[in-house]
This record gives sequence, structure tokens and C-alpha cells, in this order.
Amino acid sequence: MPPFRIPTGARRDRVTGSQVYGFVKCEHSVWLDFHGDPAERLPHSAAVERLLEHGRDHEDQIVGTLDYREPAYPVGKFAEGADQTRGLLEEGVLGVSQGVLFEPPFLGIPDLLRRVDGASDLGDWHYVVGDVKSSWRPRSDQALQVSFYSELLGRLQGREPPYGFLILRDGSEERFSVADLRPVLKEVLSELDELLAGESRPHHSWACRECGWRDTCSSDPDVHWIPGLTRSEKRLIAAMGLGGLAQLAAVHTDDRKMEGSVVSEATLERARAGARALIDREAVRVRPPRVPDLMHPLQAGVAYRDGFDRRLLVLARRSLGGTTVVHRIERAEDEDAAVLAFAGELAEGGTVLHSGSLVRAIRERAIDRPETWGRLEALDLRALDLMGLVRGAWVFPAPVSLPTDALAWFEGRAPATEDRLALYADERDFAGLEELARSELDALDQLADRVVGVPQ
Amino acid sequence: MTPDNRIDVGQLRQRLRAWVAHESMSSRRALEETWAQSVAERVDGGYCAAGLRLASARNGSFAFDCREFAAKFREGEPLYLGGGTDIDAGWPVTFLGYDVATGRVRVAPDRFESREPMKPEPGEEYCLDRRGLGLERLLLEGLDSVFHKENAHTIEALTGRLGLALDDARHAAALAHGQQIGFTPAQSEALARATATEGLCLIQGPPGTGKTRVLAEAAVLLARRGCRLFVTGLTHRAVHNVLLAVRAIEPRVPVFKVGSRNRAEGLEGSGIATVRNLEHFAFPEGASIVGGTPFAVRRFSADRRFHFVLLDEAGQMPVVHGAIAMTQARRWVVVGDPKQLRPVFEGEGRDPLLARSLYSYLEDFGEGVLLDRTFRMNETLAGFASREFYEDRLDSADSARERELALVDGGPLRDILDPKKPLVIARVDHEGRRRRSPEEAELIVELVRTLRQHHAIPASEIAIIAPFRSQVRLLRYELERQSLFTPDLVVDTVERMQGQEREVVILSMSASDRDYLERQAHFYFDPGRLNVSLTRARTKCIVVGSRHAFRARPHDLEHLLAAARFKRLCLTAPNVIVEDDRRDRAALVGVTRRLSSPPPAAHVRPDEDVASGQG
Repeated sequence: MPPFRIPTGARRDRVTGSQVYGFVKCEHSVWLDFHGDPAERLPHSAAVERLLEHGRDHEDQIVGTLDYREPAYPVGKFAEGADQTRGLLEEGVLGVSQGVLFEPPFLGIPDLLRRVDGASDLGDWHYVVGDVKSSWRPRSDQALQVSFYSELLGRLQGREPPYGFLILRDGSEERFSVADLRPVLKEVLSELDELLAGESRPHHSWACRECGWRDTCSSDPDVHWIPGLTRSEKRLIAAMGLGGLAQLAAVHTDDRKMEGSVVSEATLERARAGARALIDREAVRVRPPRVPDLMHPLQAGVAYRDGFDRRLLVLARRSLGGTTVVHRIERAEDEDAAVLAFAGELAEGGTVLHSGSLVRAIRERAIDRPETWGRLEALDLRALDLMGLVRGAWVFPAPVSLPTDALAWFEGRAPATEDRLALYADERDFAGLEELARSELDALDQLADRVVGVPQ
Repeated sequence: MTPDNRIDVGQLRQRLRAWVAHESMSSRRALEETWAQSVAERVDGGYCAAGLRLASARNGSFAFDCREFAAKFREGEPLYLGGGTDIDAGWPVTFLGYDVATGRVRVAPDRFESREPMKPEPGEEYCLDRRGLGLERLLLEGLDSVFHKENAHTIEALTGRLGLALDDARHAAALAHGQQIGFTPAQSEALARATATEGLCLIQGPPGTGKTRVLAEAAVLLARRGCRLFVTGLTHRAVHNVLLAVRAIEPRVPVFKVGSRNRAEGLEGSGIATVRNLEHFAFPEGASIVGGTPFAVRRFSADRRFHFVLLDEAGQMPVVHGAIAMTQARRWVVVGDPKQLRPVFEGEGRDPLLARSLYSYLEDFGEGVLLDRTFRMNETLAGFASREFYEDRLDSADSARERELALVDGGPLRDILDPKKPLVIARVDHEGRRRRSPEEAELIVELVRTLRQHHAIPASEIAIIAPFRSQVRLLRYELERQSLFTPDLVVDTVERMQGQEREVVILSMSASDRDYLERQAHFYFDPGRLNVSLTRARTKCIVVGSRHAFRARPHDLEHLLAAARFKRLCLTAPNVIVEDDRRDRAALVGVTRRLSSPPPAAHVRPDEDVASGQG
């Protein structure tokens, strides 16, 4: 492992796989884990707790089928846990769950250590690392976390694991080469080392919504808290002396500060609008929305993808000012019929307004059903991503995904922070999701009025 | 081949038809969105050539002077010639090509679509815009042929039900022939399988491995046995390359090209006759070789079969096009490389079975022969490609292995141009750039100046590749400003370099905004694009870029693994850091600092931040 120094006075004395995972998602959150005041960190919301609970259930379900051993050690005594883990590996057990890999300051507790053939310091065998995840697709942060564990394991057993693996939501196993990601891991650790030794600024993104540090990050907003800018853009704008919101909100593009700058006029316009949005706590328009010709009758659709058991797909259809119909699926084999039914019930020739995921969600469901494709082609032509259009024309004080979020900001109030989809995703009676769908459709209606009514 | 690989015939037919419909719809939509843009936006995107002035009209085609041509048009592409607005009111034409030497664009009226005679006015300025391929009808017609009841063999091949039998006697004879003409063992084996196959033969041809020559030799051997052959590829140029290679080996076998005279560029004086279409063509007795795109044979005819179909560039050919071509025979030699550029598709949410090339599709049913010796690249350049894309199976041929860039003594930028470093990273550490980098352009201009003026490397042996058209235009502009740009100096995106090679290739990474690159990961870090970019050079490849480009970490694992390849490039090739001193231009060429050679792989460390650069 590269040299790593936990700064004096830091609130933690270890770097864990979770921090590697967290660093890839948000560097500043990890900096706060080490330097922030733990009392300021907000507890998990009910939605996050539900997500974590599902993750644990999924892990238990997977691990429960394996005949793996688990080290038993007093809480927090990781050195002891590491010794026990080493003992199990030297014994050549089939596998270890929640094994401890400890090389201070690095600590790893991977879900799975699986025995495979091939000589190592342990014997004629060695181990590879895996983690159980509740996502449907493998992500970089997950893979780098496993790479981190693999690095520790490689040093323990005297042999680099050839691959790491992720067990995904559907039980499938995604493998990747540890060697391929090694340079990336080392760079991550080097950057983390550098970050912890210095200062850090937040980067406002989708991940902030459920983060325990969100109040800390938003308490003293500057250019770094403006959503929609890249980290490079924020650094460059700050380097121009325009880091403060008031300064940025007042800048002109012909300001001398712009001379020779890498930051484009368009970016600076957007940043200025973002500063205004944060100061005034409302949406700020940056340009007229590009509204195509809308075909009447207008209809609105909302799609929610993927409950934890993947049986849930709620689609809503509504003619503007008309009634709402909510389709819901009880079993996987009904999904295709529901997709066909939904696509078919949309009246011919009307624009279908949606909030960004409708067509994609339907297409993914129908990918193995060629008989549905003709109808889906027609839907594709008539679908208008209203949220995409809104996000292109307005800047908001926070990232927005749902129509209710955007509408809240237009009305000068902050939207709910909790991810209600996570709360309702596996409800059996659908009551919560149905209520959510109706409120999103109401919001789409109102946004459509607002957007279409805006002078070009 | 296992039962698990097989595909249901009915479902395949449905999926192919749906694919054609989806691509067609997506193409129309994309076209309409493009037409809605301004001329400047369309030019910027490569969808339009503007400022054309009539230069000549001859033999039914028109030539226009075009000072700056950066459009992505392909030969044979349907376009509109007009004033730039009201695009579909323009004259429908076919793009014949752009002559770099004369700076002229050639087009021909599309006689099937023309509503009135084409009469461009001298002195007027015109624009060329995309018209849309409008291939749906042709492709659906071709699919009817594919699933014709008498076409069982093609269907078996496409659904994984075909065996890979070989004729032993033909195999042995061809193997001996290959050895006799100096082929490598892999080339001989590929030649042998191609001539001996009683079904499907796949040949994977990495860069510079001589796949066109192998295909041509196979065609000649089969022709000498009295076979009738159909040679096809996605473009007329690909077909011409094979036909000309055949003609160079064997002048006696009748060779024909299907298509109009306008599509026969490069065949003049070759002895290859042009045939309007196959339907009224009388095949000569005995052997003959006919070349054409798949559309030349879209209408099935049981009595006009060939003994073999030879498909080139199958790594870029969509499945449906290949399927149509395959209807012409019961034996197929399919040549391509799925590790280079892939087919371009318009539609999103595509059918995963068909959203790939013909070669990749057929590989599901059996592995091909790999041509494992490159005659183009020296050992270092071949080595990186071999490790990253070909599982260490590609080697440099003896004739190429020790190649070095021939430089004279002295001269600036020696650390970067050092012939002992065939692959080098020239680090220009800017930040926040998305599609163009003046910093990189500045260095590249100095590199070109030094190569051409100090070392007398001809412009025709230098190529500069950038991922974005914005950077391409900036580079051309800067080179022109310094009187260094000539028509034979290629400055373009990687698509233009497919199939070509140069002594020196400079790759301009252009971007340095990590978050932006993470969103563009599917394009920027595409392995095929990197492979083609790095394997055009014979002796020297210079990668110019910022450290931030090498540090992007896309969210999707697949893209992260692709980005990790760029990182390995940065870590394994020597890095030369160019310090940016804008106050003193001379300092740019004099002040470089070289990191020590990269340490052994077991102790690779991320590159340290030794230069502060911008941002």
C-alpha cells in the first residue's frame, strides 16, 4: 500500500473500505468523516434505513447459502479479528464472511473471502474477495472497495488475487481484474492522503440528498455548493476570485477577471444563475426552454423502476385535466403485459410528458419482447422529457429529479429531502407509491403550464 | 457450438426487422434535430460542409472548392446541396469524396431522387447537409432474402446451427501455398481455413497484420479452382482494396465491381470492369470475382449464387448488412477486428443481440483465426496494443520490430521526440477543458514544426488525431497560421484514420474536466477508439494530454475499466512534462522535464503531481 498518514487530530485513525467507496462518491464526505464534528452529522432517514435494511437482508440471503465461517471477536478489537481471520485462511476453509483484514491504518471487512486453487503463502490455495451489493449494475465505487480489500488480502496471503467480484441484486456475479484496477486504487488512496492533509470543499450532487453531512455542507454555501457545475469549473471560478455567492451573482461576463480564463461564458452564466438561486432560494431561468411543438391531446406518464424484489413497476397515465390510472404489477411475468397495456392505452398522436425515465424504463422491460417494439417506437417519438427540458433552462438551488422538486423551488420552497421511493418501493398495498405517483402527475401538469407559458 | 448459443429463427427475423425500423426511426429523428441547428452548429458537429464554391462540372459529377472540410461524410452518403437553410429543398446528391490535395469536394446528382436538373451557380456559396441514408426499404428487402425458404444455410449460420467443417485437401494445399509465399504461420492457417471452409471461417485481423492480403490470396486460390466469389464490405473503398489486391496477384481471373461509375474511384486502369447491377449480368464461364456492397445483392436469386462470400471489415459491419451479403453463398470468409472501431448506431435502448458488428455476432458461434504478427508497428507500439487489446497474442514482425523514427541530431523537444521512446506521454497539465485545448495545440504545432523543418519528416508521414472536432479545427487553424498545414498532413478524428498508417502519430487528448469526461466515458474511453488511435503509427506515437484526463473515474464499472486502460498507458509509457510558460514562447520548446523511467509494474505508483499547470 502507498504510504498513508492520518493527520494528527483527525477523528478517525483508520481508513476502511467504506471510506474508499465513499471517497469515490464524494470526497468531501470522507474529509468530514475525519475532520468534521460527528455531532453535526444527521442520523439516517427512514428511507436510508430501509435501504440499508434491504441491503443487509440481501447479504444474509446470499451468505446464508454458503457454508462460510465467520471470525468471532470482541466488538472493535480488529487486531484480534484479523488474527482469527488469518487462522481461518491458513486452515484453508471454504470461505470466510466478514473476515477482518487489518494493516493499520487500513482496515477491511469484506463480505466474502472465497477459496480458490493456486499456491500462496497459505498453502496450495489462496482467496479472492467479494462483496454483496443490492444494486442491479456494478459500479466503480463498489469495485474499488473490493480492490482495496484485495490489496490487503494480497499482502496477507503473498499473492495478488486475480480477480474481485460483486454479487448483485439478482444474484449474478460480476468479476473484474484486480490488476486492472490497481493503478486506480493507488491513485484514489494517494488523493485521499492528500485530501486529508489539507482543506476540502463540498461538491453538491445527487448523493447529497441522503447524506448525513448535508446540513454541514450547506451551512456556508459558496461556488462549490452550486449544483450542475463540474469540480474543475468550481475550482477555476474560485481561483478567479469569484468563490463567494454574492461576488459571483454580481459578475459580468465582460469582467476583466474573465480574460484568459478557461471558464466559458456559458459556464459563468450558469454559475451566476446558480449563485442567485442559492441566495434567493428559488429557481432562476438561464435561457428560454426549448419547447418543441406539442401534440394534443397531451398526456403525462410517470414510471418508477425497480423495487428491491424487482416486481414493481408503477406506471401512471393521465390526460391533462383527466383521470389518473395507475398500473401496477404483482409478479414479474405481468410486467410485459402491463408494458403493452400501458403503451397501448396512450392515445394515438398525443405528446406524452414524463419526468425522465419513462421511455427508458419501458424499453428495458420490453427488451426481450420484440412484439412490443413497434408500439414503443411510436411512444418514443411522442415522449417529451419535461424534467430534462426544465433542467436545461433553469438552475435550481439543489439537484432536482422529480417534478415535485422542481415545482417546490418554483414556488419558493425547498422540496422534501427524503427519498420516498425507497420507503414505498416494496409496499404490498401500493398506497404510498400511488399517492406519490398522483402528486408527481399533478406536478407535471403544473410544470407543463409553467414551461409552455414561458415567453420564447 | 452448443445448443445454448442457438437463436430461434422466428425471433431473429422479428428482431432484425425491429432493429431496422428502430435504426431508421432514430436516424430520422437525429437528422431532424441536426437540421434544426444553425449552420455553424452543424459544421461544428461535423454534419455540414459550408462555404462551397463550384469549381467544375464534368461527366455528371460536380467539384466544389471547400477551404475547410471537417464533415463526417462517408463516400456514397446521400446529401443535400443547398443554401444552408430549408435543407430538404436542396438538390439531392451523393457524396463522392473530398480530395485533400486539391481541397475539393465531389458530388453527383442522385438520379433517383432528383426532382430537377442540378445547376449550381459559379460564385455562389453552398452547403452540403446530410439527407439520411433512407436504407429502411433496402434493408427490409434484403431481410426478405435472408429468410427466403431456399436460404436455409444462411439462416443456419446466423442462428448458430452450422458446423465449421473443413476440406482437408484444400486446407493442406493452401497451407503449403501460404508457406511458399512467405506468410506467417497464422496467415497461412487463415488462408488455409478460408479456402477449405465448408461453412463459416472467421479471421481476426489486428492492425497491420495483412488481412486484406490474406483475403486476396484466398480469393485467388479459390478462383484458380474455378470458383465464383462475391467480395463485399461496408464501403466501396473497402471492396476496391480487396479487388485491387486480387488484381495485383492474379491478372487473369475476371474481376468485376457492381455499382455506378461514380462509385468506381480508384479502379481506373486496373482492368476491373464495372457492372451496373447483378440482375442482368451474365457471369463468364468458370471463375470470376465480383465485388460490391451488400445492397448489390439484396434481392435473392437462387440461380445467381456464388461459391463463396468474402466479407471484409466485418468488425464495422452491422449484422443486418452482413446477413444480406451472406445470402449469396453457402461458404463465408468473414474478416474483421472487433477490437477496433465498431459500427455506429443511432438508436438508444438497442437490442443487445444486434447492437454489435457482424464479426462479434458470429464469434458467439466459434472463435476465429487471429493474425498475430503486425508488419506495421515496432515492438513497443505493438506491445501495448497486444497487452491491452489482444491478450498478449500480437507480436511485431521481424521486419518491423526494431523500427525507429529516423531523426537528425539535435533539435528541440528531444525528450518527446526521442526515437528510443516509441510511445511517449507529453503532459500539458491544463484543467477544465472539455473539447478543445489551446495548450495542447500549441505544443503540437511545435512538434510538427520540429519534425518537418528540423528532421525533414514529410507531412504525409505525420497524423494528428483528436477525439473532438472542435480540437481538430483548432489544430488545423493553428497549423495553418504557422504555415505548417498542408493537404497531406492528416489532422482529424480517429474515424478518418481507420485502415491507414503513418510514421508518426500525435494523439491530442483535448479534455481535462474529470466530471465532464466521466459523463462522456462511453465515447471518450471507448477501447476501440483508443486501439485504432494508438496503432496507426509505425515508429512513434506521442500522446499529448493533461493529467486530469488520465484521472477520470466513470461511475459505471465497464467505463472505469476502460478508463483504467488510459491510466496504464500513462503509467507505462515515459512521461515528459511540458511546463507552461506563456511569457516566453521559446521556453516552451526549451524547458521540459523528464520523469524517471516508469518503475517495474509490481510497484507502480500513481503519477506524482510534480508540475502545477493551470488550475
